[in-house]
Amino acid sequence: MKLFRQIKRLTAKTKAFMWEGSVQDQGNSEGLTGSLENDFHRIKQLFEGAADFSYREMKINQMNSVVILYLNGLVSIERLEIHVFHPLVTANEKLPQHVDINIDDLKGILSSAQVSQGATFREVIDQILAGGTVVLMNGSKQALFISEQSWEQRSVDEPVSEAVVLGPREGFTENIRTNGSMIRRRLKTTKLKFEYMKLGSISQTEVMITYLEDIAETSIVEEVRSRLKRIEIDAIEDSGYIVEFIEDQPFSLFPQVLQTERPDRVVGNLLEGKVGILVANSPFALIVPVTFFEMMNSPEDYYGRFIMTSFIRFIRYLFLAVALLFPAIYIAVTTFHHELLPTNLIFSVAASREKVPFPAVIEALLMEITFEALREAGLRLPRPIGSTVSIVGALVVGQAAVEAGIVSAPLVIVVATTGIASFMFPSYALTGAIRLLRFFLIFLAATLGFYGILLGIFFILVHLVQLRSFGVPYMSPVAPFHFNNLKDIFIRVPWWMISERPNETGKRNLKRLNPRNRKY
Amino acid sequence: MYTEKISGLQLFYLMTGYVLGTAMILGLGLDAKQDAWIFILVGMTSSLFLMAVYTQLAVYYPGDSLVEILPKVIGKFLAYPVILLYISHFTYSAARASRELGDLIVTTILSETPIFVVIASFMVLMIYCLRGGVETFARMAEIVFPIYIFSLILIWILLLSVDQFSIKNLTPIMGMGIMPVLKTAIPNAINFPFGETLAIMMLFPYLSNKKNTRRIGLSMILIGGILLTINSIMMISVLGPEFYSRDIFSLLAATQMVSVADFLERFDALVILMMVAGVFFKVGVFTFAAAVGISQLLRLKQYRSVLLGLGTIIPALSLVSASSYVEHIEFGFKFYVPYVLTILQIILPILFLCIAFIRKKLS
Repeated sequence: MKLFRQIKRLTAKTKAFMWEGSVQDQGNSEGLTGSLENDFHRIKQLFEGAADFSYREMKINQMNSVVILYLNGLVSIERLEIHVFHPLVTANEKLPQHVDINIDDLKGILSSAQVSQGATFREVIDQILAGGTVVLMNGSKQALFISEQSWEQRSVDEPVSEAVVLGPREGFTENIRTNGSMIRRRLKTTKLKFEYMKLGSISQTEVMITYLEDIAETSIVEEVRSRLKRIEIDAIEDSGYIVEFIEDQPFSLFPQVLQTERPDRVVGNLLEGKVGILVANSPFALIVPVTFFEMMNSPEDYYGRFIMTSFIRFIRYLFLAVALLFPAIYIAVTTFHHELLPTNLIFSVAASREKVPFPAVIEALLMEITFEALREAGLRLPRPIGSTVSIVGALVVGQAAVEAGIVSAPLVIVVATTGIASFMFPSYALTGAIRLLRFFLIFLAATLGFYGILLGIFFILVHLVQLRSFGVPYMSPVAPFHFNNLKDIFIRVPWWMISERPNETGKRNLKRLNPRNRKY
Repeated sequence: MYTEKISGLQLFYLMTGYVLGTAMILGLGLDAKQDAWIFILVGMTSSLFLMAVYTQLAVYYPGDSLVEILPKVIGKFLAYPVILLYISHFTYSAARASRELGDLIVTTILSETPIFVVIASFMVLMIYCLRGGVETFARMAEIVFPIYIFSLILIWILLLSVDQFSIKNLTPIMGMGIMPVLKTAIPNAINFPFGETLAIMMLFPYLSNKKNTRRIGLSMILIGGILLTINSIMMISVLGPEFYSRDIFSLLAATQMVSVADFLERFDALVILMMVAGVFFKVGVFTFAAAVGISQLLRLKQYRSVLLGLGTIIPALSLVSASSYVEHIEFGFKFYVPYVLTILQIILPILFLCIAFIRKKLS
């Protein structure tokens, strides 16, 4: 009872705790005073100690003077010189000398494309932080904001994590505007919506929700919006942060949000009624809701010919089973069910296991963990040394361990096949789930043999069918069953036969194409 | 309390898997020897009438489960003991099915594992699944049932390759006349497995489209019966009537005879898969029916808490109820199926329907 009371007290405490935000620029919501001296002083004080904060004061005629404020490194100095500084320096030629001009006159002489106005300190500060340039003028309660941002960034590159042979090769970059433009370029319609919001009290990261109006389910879009708004954190460094906040079941091994580097994949999903989330400074876009079977599809599936694609999908599902079950089946067979193998095969397996001092399960765990270590090491090492790992791995683990009689040769084959199989899945996040579940099945196989494996598979299936991603059942369209959507799951029928969007997300506008396309 | 909904197809898969469940592995109509398939057909056709009775009750009281119907039909004071009877029937049947699974696993592939471990681990899975609600269970059926049917058909095709396969094993058809077959078939063939579909009355309220009630009920008996008939014909053709009536796990025995090109053999794994899948349906439906029944009887808001209790009772009950597998089968086929089930599944429902009919007429 004492324990219960303690827990109760703890939960009561968390309830009482209200989020007040961590360090952040609060306040400053007052309007500009109109006195250049005071306003400039206040802003300068806020940016004290920030060496990249730059400003320039200048007189534009006898009556008026301005201050130009910006953060060095976030603006294009060249463009500022042409479109802001030059017009201002030469302003006395265009403006009356002895008249007190207003802010609109000033706006008129700037040749920059994007000039807007604001009246509060808050806006001024936000503009400067976002890379804008602010012009304050004496006697004006309005400030001019000029967008001439420019900073160093990675160019559009081939996506590393989702390479394809066929299909477009551009991947997202860290710049959210570039990413948005890549989607917009592919969907030239006013129905494509981008909704901005800012997340992270310190980082103020821009996040963009994108969807196709009239196709995406409004309830899902609303759910995405509200789940994103609920995030209260100091900084968002990558879209991976957001994933954990918005997943339906964060403790599940299976990813319920699709992370992708490919704009074409985002567009394909938007057309199916999904919602995309772009995050500034992250080359990974998020797509929700997502199903298990979509995780198994690669964008390339839609660019190649359909028969080949269907075959590749068959291989993929086959090796899904291999990646998940092969070590477990090896253990079950060598420990419990020798009779399940053909006689010759069981003899050769038994002969090679003769010298091995460990039970099969220890042997397999040893090798599996070594393989995981090799994989992680290969990932972290600098490229030039990378090959060392594979040589050492192949020689030490593959050759020497077998010859020393620590592991048996068939097991090396099993582990190697499993390793290759686990690299086959188009979704990196799904691979992680399969790798971990493999160990779960190894333990079950070691205790209950084939029956244990069956139980394990049933456990995984039960978990999968009750999983949901933003309300959409994870195993749809298999469970709940929907025949029309099966055309693009285990096989892919030719494009002209996929006449409907997935039922779960595209209900509002099911028709995709004219079914008479092929009737010549 | 029926916030969850399942579709007609899901219920059909679930209940057909439930009909096939243990019956497929155990073999039916062992006393009828080569006429076992007629035995099943007789059971099936008579069960169609029985199912009409069940569905008619469900149609009279749409949206009510059996436990909710009974007080309306026979009054509160009479209903409670009857409901208790049904709940204990569901619980005991779940225990029986898990015992059959446990014994199959222990006698075939895990000879040194204690049977309790097998049953208990299965029960953990079952409770995990049912705690996800009837929707989760129904979706599992949608994945598992096609695999089940696929394995079954694969086994049939493989059986055709067995040397001993001879359709002549079926003769003489009704050599002793139809009476001996009918005598063994009624009521046993009706009661197991077809009559056990009484449990569907606990699931009807979850059906999303109530119009399909009768169609689903009848089609699952029909499809299940036809599959069982074909299966028994295949078994008898491969094993011969003598072996068929003597073997405890006839499907497994038949499958072990498969050998294609001396390489494709040992399909035991497939049978084990089918057994686990079949028992999954069977224990699942029984446990769920018992849990919903208890929660409705005690007016609980949800059935999930009841499941944990059932999960501890059922494995224990399955072991306590019989000291050996032979005793288990004896008790089942000599006492439980012919007497207890006849009362619970045939006599009482027909009685209820008559009363319900009169009540409807009077009001």
